[in-house]
Amino acid sequence: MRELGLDERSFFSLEESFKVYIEKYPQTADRLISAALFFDNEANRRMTEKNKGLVVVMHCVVEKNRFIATNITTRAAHTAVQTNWRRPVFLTFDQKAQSVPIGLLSLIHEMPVAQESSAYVKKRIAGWEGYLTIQERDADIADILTRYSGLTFNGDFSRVTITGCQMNEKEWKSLKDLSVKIKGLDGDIGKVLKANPAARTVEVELHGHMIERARQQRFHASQKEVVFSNFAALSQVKRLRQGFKHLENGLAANPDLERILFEKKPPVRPPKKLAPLAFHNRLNDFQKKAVTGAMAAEDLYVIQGPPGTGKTTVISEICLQNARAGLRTLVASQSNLAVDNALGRLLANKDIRILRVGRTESIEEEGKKFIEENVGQYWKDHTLQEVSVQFEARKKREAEIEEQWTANEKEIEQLQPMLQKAETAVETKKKAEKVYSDIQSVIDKQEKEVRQAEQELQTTQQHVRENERAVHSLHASIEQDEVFLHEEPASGAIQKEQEAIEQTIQRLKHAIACDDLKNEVDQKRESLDQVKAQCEQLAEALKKADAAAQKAASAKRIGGLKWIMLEQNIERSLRIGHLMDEIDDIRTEMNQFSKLKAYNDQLSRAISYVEKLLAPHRMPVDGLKQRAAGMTVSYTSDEIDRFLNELREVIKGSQNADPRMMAPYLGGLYSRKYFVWKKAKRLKPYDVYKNIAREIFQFLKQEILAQLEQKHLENETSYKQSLRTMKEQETALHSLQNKHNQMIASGEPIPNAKEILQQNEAKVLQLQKKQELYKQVAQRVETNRNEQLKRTEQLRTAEQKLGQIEVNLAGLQNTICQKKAELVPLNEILSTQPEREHEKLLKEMASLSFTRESLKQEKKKLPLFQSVQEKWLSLLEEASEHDLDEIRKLYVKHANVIGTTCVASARKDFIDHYPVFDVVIIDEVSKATPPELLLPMLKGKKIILVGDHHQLPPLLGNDTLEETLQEMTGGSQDFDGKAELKNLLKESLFERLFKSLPDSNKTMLAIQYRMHEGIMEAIAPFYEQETDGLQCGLLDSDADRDHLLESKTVQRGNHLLWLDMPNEPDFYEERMKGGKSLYNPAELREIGVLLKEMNEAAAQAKQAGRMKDNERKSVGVISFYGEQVKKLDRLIQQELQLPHLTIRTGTVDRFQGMEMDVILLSMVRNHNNKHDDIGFAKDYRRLNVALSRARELLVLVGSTKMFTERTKQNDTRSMYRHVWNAVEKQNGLRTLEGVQPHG
Amino acid sequence: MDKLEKRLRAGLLENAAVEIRHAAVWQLPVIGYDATFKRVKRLKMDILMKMLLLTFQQADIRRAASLSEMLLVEELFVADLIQKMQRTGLIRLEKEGYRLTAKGYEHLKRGIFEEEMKEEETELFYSPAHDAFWTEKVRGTEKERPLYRYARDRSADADQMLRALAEREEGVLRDGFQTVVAEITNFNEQLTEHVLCLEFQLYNKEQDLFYARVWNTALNRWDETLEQQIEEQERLEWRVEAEKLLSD
Repeated sequence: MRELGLDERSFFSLEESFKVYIEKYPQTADRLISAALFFDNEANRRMTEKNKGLVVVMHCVVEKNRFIATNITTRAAHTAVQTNWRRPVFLTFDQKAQSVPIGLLSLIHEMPVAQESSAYVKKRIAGWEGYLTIQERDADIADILTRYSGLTFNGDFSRVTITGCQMNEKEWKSLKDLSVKIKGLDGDIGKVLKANPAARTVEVELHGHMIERARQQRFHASQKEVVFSNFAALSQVKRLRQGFKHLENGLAANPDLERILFEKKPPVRPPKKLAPLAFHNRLNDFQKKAVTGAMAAEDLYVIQGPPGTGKTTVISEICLQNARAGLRTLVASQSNLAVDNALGRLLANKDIRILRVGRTESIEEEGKKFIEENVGQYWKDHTLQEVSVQFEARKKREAEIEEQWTANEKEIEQLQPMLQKAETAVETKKKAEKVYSDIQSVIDKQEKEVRQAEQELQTTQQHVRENERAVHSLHASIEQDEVFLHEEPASGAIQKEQEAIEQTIQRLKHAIACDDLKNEVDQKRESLDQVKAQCEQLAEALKKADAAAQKAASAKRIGGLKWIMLEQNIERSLRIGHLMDEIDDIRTEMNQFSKLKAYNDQLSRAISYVEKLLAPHRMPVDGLKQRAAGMTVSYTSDEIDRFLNELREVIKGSQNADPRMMAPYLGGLYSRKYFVWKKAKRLKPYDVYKNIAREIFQFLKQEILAQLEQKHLENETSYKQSLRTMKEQETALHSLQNKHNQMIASGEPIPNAKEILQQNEAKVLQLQKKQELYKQVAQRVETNRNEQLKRTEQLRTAEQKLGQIEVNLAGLQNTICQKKAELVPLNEILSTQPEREHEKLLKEMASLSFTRESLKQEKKKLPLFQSVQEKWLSLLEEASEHDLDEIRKLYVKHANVIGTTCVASARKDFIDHYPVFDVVIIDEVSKATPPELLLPMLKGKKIILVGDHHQLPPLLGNDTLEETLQEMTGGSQDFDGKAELKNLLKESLFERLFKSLPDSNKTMLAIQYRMHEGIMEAIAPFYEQETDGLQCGLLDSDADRDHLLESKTVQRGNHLLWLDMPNEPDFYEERMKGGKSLYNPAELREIGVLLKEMNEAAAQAKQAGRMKDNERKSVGVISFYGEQVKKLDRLIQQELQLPHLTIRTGTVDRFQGMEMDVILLSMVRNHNNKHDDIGFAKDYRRLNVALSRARELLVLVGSTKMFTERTKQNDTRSMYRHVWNAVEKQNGLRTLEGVQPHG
Repeated sequence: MDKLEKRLRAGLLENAAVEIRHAAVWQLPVIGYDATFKRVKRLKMDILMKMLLLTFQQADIRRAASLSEMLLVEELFVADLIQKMQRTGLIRLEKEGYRLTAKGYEHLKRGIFEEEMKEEETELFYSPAHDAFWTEKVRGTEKERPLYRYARDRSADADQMLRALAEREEGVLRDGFQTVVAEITNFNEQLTEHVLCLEFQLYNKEQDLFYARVWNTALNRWDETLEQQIEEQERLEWRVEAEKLLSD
């Protein structure tokens, strides 16, 4: 800030808002994001003014809500501010602002880190390093200064040989292609062609303007010092490197460029939708597709253009379309020659303003008119021509207009009455139509009524029929009913019969009731008997129960009680159960007690017995007793029994034994006795048990007695109940019997009364039904009579209506007939078509009026146009250079097609003038290396590549890169990226893009117009793989590509010839002494003969009137080898006189892009060296170029055996075999005189 | 003369491989003309601007496109110029179209105005062999020498003369004024001058090349037109002769 002489506030208030480009710095984990703000030094005018154009860079740390400026620096004015890695924003610096807008922060967060993007590109572009390495190989050479002794010029001053140079060995070796400057002369004189250290000479190819100087002998310098410099080559490599750098720094006009170039599937954007284009040139379908595609593409379009397929036409059309769309186009190519060729063939059209940019001395004739100083003139010439053509045309036009005017008037006059007539006819027809439609509508209405009436008629008829039928059926029904009534008895008789039956029924019913009552009495009596029996039973039971109670009260033992319980079926209540269990328990304990007592007795007896036995032996019995008392053992009853048994056995079996051995048994007895005692001790004394048992027995008895008492009460109640029932029943029986007796008295009983009753009731029912039927029929007859009357009335009405409708219908039909008759004459009018005629006439009239109007306009404008243009022409004609100054400036300002070479497009002044192009078209792409292509590509928003990967790739000198690489590898010179380069060479950038792009972004122009179809056949295989192959666009090859020559070797019908050189020593190739280039003297000789023959043939063609007198056949003599070309040059210049031919010579490589009527190809290679092959001629692309230069006639001169048999690689052999076959098929094989054809 | 020849020979022989097979001196006829012509002095003025001003006087024009159609000039140029002229106050847009302002009239008047200059006389030289005018004064030789063997008999036309003269007289700009050759009022053929030429037939034995060198004393340079004419006619013969000589 201090440097700028501004304080913070005044800096930030320089602009309302600053245009700033933000660059994001690499992030580290532990620190905040940091970024740099680059202040645009173009958009921010006031700032720029203040700080003299420097770029201000503010380095910031980005915090959550603010930026903290850490540092402010300035950079040079030319520093790039806008790059693809930076994001443009407009920033206002407001001290009052609270925080930085979120949008800005997220923009910074999401944007890429500039260094990372650069690194990415750097990594990818490293693959291209190899190209530069090759070019740099010899580039790093310091200027070489040497004295010289003299300069000698060649015949036409195109070359100078500098003699007497003094240099060291290394310097001599590095001279090739260096630029040459002679001290004391302005500018470079040319380029080193050849250095000869032995002779101390250097041969230099002179620049054009130096040739002039040489002729004037203005080459003398006092110092005689020459400087060889590699500046041009070095600066070229520098520019290529700079291209890499620009891509790395994100300076490509198309931000996707690096991805398009490097990714396997180039991420091209889908093309725009375009309205169909109006083409200025006549284009074939492929060309149309290419132009449309190129216009529609958003970033990249690739056009493959095989030889003669009209690439330039396509480029020209694209330039024109771009110009019309207001776009600026750069046309770039690898060489100046190609740029000038392309520009030279662009159409002269006022919408296209072509400007050729580059060093004037290196621009070819075709491009010269487009350089800045000449465009004024070019514009003048072009405008003058256009205006004069129009002016001349309009001169004739005046009379024409008059003529046309008269004719037009006459036609209008003729047309007028016809038109009127037609109008009347149309009017009449319209009226007729109106009347017709009126009548028609009446008819329609009437017909509708008819239809209605008919319908009504039908319904009425239906009605009548229905009524008739009804009346008829009613009549029948009435008759039938009357018969019935007549036959049936009258209703009174039935009534009487019925009443009689009713009386009988009454009697019957009484009898039945009597019977029923008697039955009831019987039943009652029976049930009374039952009740009596029951009563007796209950009394019995009561007696029994009393007995049981007494028995229970007197029971002494439990068994007795149990018996009573069973007997009396006494319920074993909870309490009874409990008491009985207790008695059982006591009984068990008392049993155990008696058992223990029994054991005690037994044991005591045994003890006393044993003691008695032992007593004489004075055994210590007390000790045994004590021990037994101390033991705590338990025994079961079985065990005690067993023990006692054992003892008994022992006593029995040992009457005489020593009783002392009984001592242990005594111990056992004691112990068992103690055990029994212990056990007995735990039981209560026997009397206690007895008392308890007695008590419980008393409880039990009471319980049972209580129960029995309860039962007794119950039985007594039911007995009383039975007695009561019995009495009631007896009473009921008495009353029933009384009733019955009464009934019997009132009527005698009838047997079978029930049956008879049923019969009688059925009879009554029948009679009732009959009565009913009779009534119904009578009723029906009444109803039917009424109905009949009504129907008859209806029938009469309907019949009347029917008559009316019929009359009505007849009336309607009549009207319709009349109306239809009225239509007949109208139909005639309507069938005519006056409108068509009228319309036709109207159209004619309109077109005549239009013509009249435009003629009127033209007539009016014509004098003005003529006078203005006349003046304009005179002004243009006398315009001097000065008068065109303004035009020249305007032209340059509005130039919309700029042409330059790839490398020149990276020159600083060019970049300054034209930083960006809307479209960049690169021609002959396959001939440029990727680094060269990158330079113009950097400048284009859209890039269109035109090339053909089946023609020659980039060349270094005369070698392809492969050949150079091979040579380098041979010299074991190694460098980084050699492997990558080898890979790249396998498939060129153009080829890769062409193959990987979607169909919408590429086209192959598949129709060629250059070659006779016979010549095309030779190269057809090279394009077989492409979708459409290569087709010939010439409608009649023989007529369009007639070379008009007739000679010994060449007939009119020949277009493809091969002059076979024998594979014999006399015809072998030779090598230059001390050089590596090859030549073939035999072929030279034969070509000389051939050329003479053709010159002669051309002369004859002129004589025969086939060719014009001043015409010359254009012949190209080309070869795979430079040395051969040199020798051909010399031969043609020195030894031949060919006034009827225009000859151009060159290597095949130099000829790429050119075309001639006739091409002679000297193939040179011919030897029998097993270790050698065919060198340059191996490359199919070189062969393709060689074969595709001729329009009318191609003659190969070389050994068929060498190329079709002796060639080492199979592919190469079959490639030449195909050519040979094509030649044979066209009868084009020629042999030298006296030589047998090979094969 | 001898000195010149010596110097040229020395120069040619600097190349050791070259031998001079034959040398000759002859004269090239050049026709002199006396011409009177007129020049005019006029203000340097862009022709398109002049044309626009003239057209605005003559017709009602509102749109650049109509002018573009009439003059067959890019609309952009016309629009640009119209803008410029409006800005500098030469024209203004009125109801019917553009009209010249007083300043515009003045400017056009000056641009059209041509100050006719006094008739001038000059000498011109035409070489039929070259079919070209030489505007420099040619000094013929006095001595009789053989004529150039391929001299052609043709004369110049006035148009060619005017172009040559205009090119020669293409005036420098002075205070925005230029002088332009407007017409040749009269011209008369004068004496034919004879320009001395030195011819060398050379052979480069290293490369087996025959070629010719002709020094034109009027132009003071090796003259490729003449060299080519000679080579075209004679080069084959030289070789035949040389081979004959060799075989003899």
